[in-house]
Amino acid sequence: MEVFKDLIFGFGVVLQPMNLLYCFFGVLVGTLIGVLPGVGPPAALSLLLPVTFYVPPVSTVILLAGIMYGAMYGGSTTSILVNIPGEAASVVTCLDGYQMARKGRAGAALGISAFGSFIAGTITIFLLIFLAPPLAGFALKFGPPEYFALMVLGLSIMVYLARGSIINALIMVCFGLIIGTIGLDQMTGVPRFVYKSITLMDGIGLVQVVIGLFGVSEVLINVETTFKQEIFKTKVKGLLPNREDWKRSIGPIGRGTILGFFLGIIPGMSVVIPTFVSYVVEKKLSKSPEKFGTGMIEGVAGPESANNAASVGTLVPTLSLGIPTGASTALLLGALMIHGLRPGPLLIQESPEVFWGLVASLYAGNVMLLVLNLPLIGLWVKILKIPYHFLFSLILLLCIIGSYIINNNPYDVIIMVTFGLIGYLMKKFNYEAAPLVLALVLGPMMEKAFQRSLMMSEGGFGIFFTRPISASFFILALLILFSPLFLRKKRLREDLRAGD
Amino acid sequence: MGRILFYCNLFWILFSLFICVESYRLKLGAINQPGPGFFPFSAGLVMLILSLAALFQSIRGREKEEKTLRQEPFRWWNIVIILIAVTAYAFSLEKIGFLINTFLFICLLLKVVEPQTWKTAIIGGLITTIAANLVFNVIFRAQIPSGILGF
Amino acid sequence: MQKKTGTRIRFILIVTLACLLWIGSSQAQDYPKGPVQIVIPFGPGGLTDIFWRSTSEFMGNNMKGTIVLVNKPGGGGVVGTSFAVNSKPDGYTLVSANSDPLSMSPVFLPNVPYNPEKDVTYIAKLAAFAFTVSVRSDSPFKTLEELVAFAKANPKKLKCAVMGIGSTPHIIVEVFNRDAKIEITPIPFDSGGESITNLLGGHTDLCVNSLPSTKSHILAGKARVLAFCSPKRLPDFPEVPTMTEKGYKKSSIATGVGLAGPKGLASTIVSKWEEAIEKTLKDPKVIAIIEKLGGVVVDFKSGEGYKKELMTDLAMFKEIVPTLPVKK
Repeated sequence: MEVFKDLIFGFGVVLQPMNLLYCFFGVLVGTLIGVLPGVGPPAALSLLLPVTFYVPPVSTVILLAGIMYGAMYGGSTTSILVNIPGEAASVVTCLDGYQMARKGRAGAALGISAFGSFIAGTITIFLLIFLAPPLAGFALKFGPPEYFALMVLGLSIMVYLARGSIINALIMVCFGLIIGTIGLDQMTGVPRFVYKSITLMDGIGLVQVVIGLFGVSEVLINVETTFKQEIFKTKVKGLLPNREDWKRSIGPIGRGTILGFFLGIIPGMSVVIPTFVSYVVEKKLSKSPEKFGTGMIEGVAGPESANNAASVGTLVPTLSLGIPTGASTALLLGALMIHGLRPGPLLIQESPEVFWGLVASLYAGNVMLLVLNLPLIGLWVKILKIPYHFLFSLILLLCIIGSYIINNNPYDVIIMVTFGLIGYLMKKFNYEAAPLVLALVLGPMMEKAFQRSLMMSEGGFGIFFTRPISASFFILALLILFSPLFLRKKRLREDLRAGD
Repeated sequence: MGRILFYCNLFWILFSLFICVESYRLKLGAINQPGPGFFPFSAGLVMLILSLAALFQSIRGREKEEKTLRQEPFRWWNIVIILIAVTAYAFSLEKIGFLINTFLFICLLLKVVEPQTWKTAIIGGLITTIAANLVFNVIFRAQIPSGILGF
Repeated sequence: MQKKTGTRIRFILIVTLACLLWIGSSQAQDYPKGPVQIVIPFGPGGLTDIFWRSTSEFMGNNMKGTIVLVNKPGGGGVVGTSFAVNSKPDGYTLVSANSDPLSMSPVFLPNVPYNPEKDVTYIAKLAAFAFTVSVRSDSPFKTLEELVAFAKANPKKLKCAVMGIGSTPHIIVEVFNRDAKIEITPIPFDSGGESITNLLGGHTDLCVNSLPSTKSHILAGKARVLAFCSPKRLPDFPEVPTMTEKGYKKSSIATGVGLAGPKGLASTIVSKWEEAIEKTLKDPKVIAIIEKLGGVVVDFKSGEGYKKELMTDLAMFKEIVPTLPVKK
């Protein structure tokens, strides 16, 4: 088949020693940068973009792909080890990954994360090759009403994200939505809740919030009482996932891959959302949903695969249409353009070695990631053995630097601390952080989509229901929102019967 | 537990009222031509309803009282110290510089929050500062300010 | 112990003094000491974004420093511009000074958080972008006249993607509406990239967008340009008419792109940049890259020159905008 011939050609390009070296270098640097909280693929790519200029085009592409992957994986490492999300998409990994680490299963968590990412990457690259053009066309069908409907759907799955009181979770959602409005309104330029503060005018960044809410608050909770309690069980039960872990994880990995890929295709879809969706799906499908949040490996395997799959998904519109879907892909495009390449429908025809080299390099990057990181798991786990009365200061330092580096603005650190305090209070009073984060991500997108849709329809609400895609999302959302009611009635009836 | 919940919800009620008022001042616009205040107002309104509901729930005492026994002293001062330390670090970073700031910060935390000997604190501070500097300022060429001593 | 402490203190004092002297003398000469952040007040994939990404490497080399590009989209460029303009004037946070947020938005939007005349230090103008009025290739409109005719018969029916309220494309649409006596509804997106995506997806009927963002789609046959908003025809597309030709001279607004920083920026920093930019724009490699983008006219002006141009535009817009049939 034509495609396989091209793919082999692509591999031929990638497997040259120089290019392999670039790939390795990219993955290594990417991982290191990604481990730093607050620095995700976009930052890593832009930090190293200048380097690519001295490198031939194809190698550039390979290098960048390696960096992207590395940074993604690095983000999960800190999430699992110290509950600091390395980047926004790793937030969900914190929920169960960190708990696994506390139980001495950090190795398994890191391992399943690496493997899950690898499997997801491999599958989605094939999907990319074969399905890119038709998928890109599908992606274009997403206009403002579809986005709005999708966001509403996203918020409705929130119902299942909550571990405890649903009302508290919903209050967190509202809180997140409100925080998301702080800053200049995108549609009218009017400052909202800014009170003349320059930092606030830019809005409250997701990364600062997340580092504070998860990382700092965790430290605060731990220092409440003396450290005689072991924060981390030092006896590590095996470094890699065992057979039972694999049995439980295969399903989530598969589902996460599909979910991540198809959601990632949608232009502008943040990589964060597929991870949340995957988590909720796994929770819903699990036989013991109440255990989620205490260290269920499904809660790591699914989202990590979704993360990787979504990143590959974002490449679909980028490569086939030349439309960037987010910060990382925009940088990739920019790098290509600097080299005089024009991504888009013509890229495959004009410069096949670049396109196929990229595709092959994605795969190589994937393999490289696994090869590089599996041995490192032993190293990471050793870090946990550092006594907590020293470790916690390192964690705090990492949080500070991570939040400062975003904008070189000390006020970002202040925001982080504030949310650290808020997160601590939330933990003490039983309010969950995850719904807040989801709302913070969805809120601004939702509002813009809503306003644009109304402009398109000149004020009529029908537009949401006359378009097939958005209508189906709304129906789905309604079903999800009201299904607990039906389930509760059933359970109530069963309880009553049992009580007799 | 019920009492704490009561105060929490009271807080949310006040907060949402504040948001609603502020959003109203931002102009709500019409439902089919929303103004800047529309979205936060709606969110605030929903929050108000939810927290009122939760408030009633807690008054009715549906929540079971949980009596947690504290076996060890609740060291709230640790928390305060950490918060102040981090805040101070943020503000002084650009004046004093990364190296000194980091060193002081680590020393302070090690000595105060979970008391170590002076030796441990200073050695820990030094190692961390040097390592951090190596990683961030040298390898990543990050822009962390040099401050007074120029390094 | 006493003797040791005495010597130690003296040593520290000497070292400190030496360092202070060293720092003091090396302030401006060492600029840039680290990466300089240039804020792009639009989303990735738009023209400003592509322009800077293509040229920042060369500029960085000429400045002997690294340029880090950061996207901060929103409000038609207002969000990013205000962020940069209100930050510390230490020369490490600059902004792509597009004419939209500086000469247009302050007229259009009620609460722009900066004064383009007083709060900004203009460093240089780099280039001007010409915009296109484009439709999808399967659109029924093959010429501008057909578009106008349809619009006259169906007010408010046509939707046009633009990149932000108060941006040049938005104004172009509004001026066009006024001069042709039609009503096309502008829909604001965060960037040129988003605008063209929504056009291709069928969510809007037309789009006023920059050429580079649209070019690859035109060449691939997915989109069609009805007219360029420029006084003269472009060499890449000699068969496409301009708005000026068609009688809509006022709609041929080009947007300028330059570099600026917060007020109070040291003049040494400004002149260093001016030099570097002028050198970069004369570099044949850069010229070749810019030509490939299409629709970009290199137009170097000093900071003062750019400021004058923008203030003139600002005054003109203050005059035009109240006459426009714009619904807020």
